[in-house]
Amino acid sequence: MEINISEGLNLALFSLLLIIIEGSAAWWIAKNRRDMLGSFLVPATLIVFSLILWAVSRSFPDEDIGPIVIPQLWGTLIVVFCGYVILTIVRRKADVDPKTGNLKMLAVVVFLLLVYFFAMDIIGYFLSSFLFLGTLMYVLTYRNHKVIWSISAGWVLFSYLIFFKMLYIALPLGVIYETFFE
Amino acid sequence: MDLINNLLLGFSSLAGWQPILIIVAGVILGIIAGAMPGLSPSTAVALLVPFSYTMEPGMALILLTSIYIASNYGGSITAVLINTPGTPSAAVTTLDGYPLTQKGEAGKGLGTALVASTIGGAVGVLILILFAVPLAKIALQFSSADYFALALFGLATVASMGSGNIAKALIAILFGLLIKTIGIDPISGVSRFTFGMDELYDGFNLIPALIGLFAVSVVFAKVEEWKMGSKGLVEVSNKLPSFSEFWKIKMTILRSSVIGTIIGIFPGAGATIASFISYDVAKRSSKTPEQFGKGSLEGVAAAEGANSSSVGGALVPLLALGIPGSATDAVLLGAFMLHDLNPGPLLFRDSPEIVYGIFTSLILANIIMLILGLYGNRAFIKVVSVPAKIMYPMILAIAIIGSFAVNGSLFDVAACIGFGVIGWLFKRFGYPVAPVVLGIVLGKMIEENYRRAVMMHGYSSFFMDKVSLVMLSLAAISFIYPIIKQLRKKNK
Repeated sequence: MEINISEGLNLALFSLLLIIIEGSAAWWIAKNRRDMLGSFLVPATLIVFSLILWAVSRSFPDEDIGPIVIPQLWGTLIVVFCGYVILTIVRRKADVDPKTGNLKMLAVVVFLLLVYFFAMDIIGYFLSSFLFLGTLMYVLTYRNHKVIWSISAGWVLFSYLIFFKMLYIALPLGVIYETFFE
Repeated sequence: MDLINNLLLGFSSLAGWQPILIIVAGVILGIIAGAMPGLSPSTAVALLVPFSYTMEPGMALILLTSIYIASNYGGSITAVLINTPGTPSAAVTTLDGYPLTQKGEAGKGLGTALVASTIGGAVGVLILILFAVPLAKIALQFSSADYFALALFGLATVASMGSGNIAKALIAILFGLLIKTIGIDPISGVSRFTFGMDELYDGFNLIPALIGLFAVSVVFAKVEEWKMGSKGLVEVSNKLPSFSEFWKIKMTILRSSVIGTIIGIFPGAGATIASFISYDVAKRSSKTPEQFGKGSLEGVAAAEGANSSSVGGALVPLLALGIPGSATDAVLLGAFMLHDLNPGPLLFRDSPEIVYGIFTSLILANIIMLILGLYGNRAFIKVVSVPAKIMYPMILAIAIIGSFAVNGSLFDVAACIGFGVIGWLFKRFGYPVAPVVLGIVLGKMIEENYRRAVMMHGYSSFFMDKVSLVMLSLAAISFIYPIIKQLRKKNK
């Protein structure tokens, strides 16, 4: 279902409004219930997500038992139950957030995973997998270099033989390879 | 008498070393394919169809059905060891299988999965042999309202997964259901929430979502915990459950095998729904329901017994009526046709040696699976002895290639990473991830059958039909009862 420009603009404004409301509520929670901020953000974000989809679904054909019915039903129920969870937070009846662990390391791992994902398209699956595995093991403070690079190479060989050669899965070879060698 | 004669005919077709070798090869390939995330049983069977072309029809079908039955067990290996379900139905196995590994009892988890799979597979085949034709006819009389009621009954199992907070479990399942509405509407053909992205026309694929929610999210959580020694993930024992432990769960295995077979018979229902429902029933009837989700052998047995027995159930409509009940059955149907065979009542009359050859080979495949599994488990368990700093990058690498392998699409890889982040956040703040999978699995079945039933017969169709009415009532009871129980507990 295509959305026209004015509908798109309205949707963008509506989404912005929802995000501002969520941000303001998060600011209030951070001030008054700091130990429950994470627990608040999950249902609040789900409400925003559901309301945006709810708004988008208004562009679907409005038929009896049409494509609009079920998404709006699920969306409404999410808003209701998330609202209930938020209420328990406001009334201090919810559990406090779990202790924060090594988020810096987690951010590095997610970042590496994203770099790996984008690199696959450019330098190809095999080289990017080799580099990703080696780098991640090193980042996770494993220091036996022989093991690091032999496992990385072993995985590349395994995926080449099993997935690429035997199962004919067209793993990305990368823009560089395709430009110069194909 | 006819049945016995035909079974003897089937056994005679297995005489000689060649059929046995074919079954062994099929079981090994099935276990490997099942254990590999991204390779579903249907993909594994499809990949082998061309190789079976030059084989004699009976042997070709024996190879393919052996792969089918073993791949359902194979899915449990990675589910128990690294929380990565190799097949969608093994998602339920992770709920108790992985906690067992974390407690250092991976051997018990794998052993229970193996025995439950073997018994489940055998029960499914037995029911297939005895009642294939009449059961298939009953299943085909099911209306849209009945299917909707069956799916709703499946949804009610969410009450077993809330780990104390039903509201959060409901949010998780609703999130899965909402995610499933993305893509082309199954009835009107309207594209929903695709935002012009071609990749979203078919919605999110289940496998990348599953791998992200279960495997990637666990790696994220463990990295955040940052407890990385140079030793293995956990000290694990390859000790199998004792005979008395197996004896205690005998009823769970048998019950889940029957549930799995019955649900497997309904076209489109499948192993995943069977596992969820069986897990729910096992938890409700258990003397120790509080152990579920913490490493209960009953939980592993319920999931595995059901998903393996559903194979026999799914073969009922295929063999008896020529109607494929699952994706793998559709591939098998193609294989039958490739060999100039048409599944259906005539196949029983014209080629009983093929049909009963398949039946008897399935029994043998289960026995071979048990033997190979018992020896293989010792090797599989070594996986968790690998240091965490090596294991977690490997899990991510498997997750990436597994997601990509489904459709050969980088979009699926992105979806897997996205679901990984969602899974990590959900788990961190007490939202169970299994209901998200349940929502994604059941979403289409619920919507399609609900709308179809209302369009054809109005809202009354759900209450006029006896089967639908019974199942809706059961769904309501199984949903409301745990809530009342929880409220009572709170009031005390």
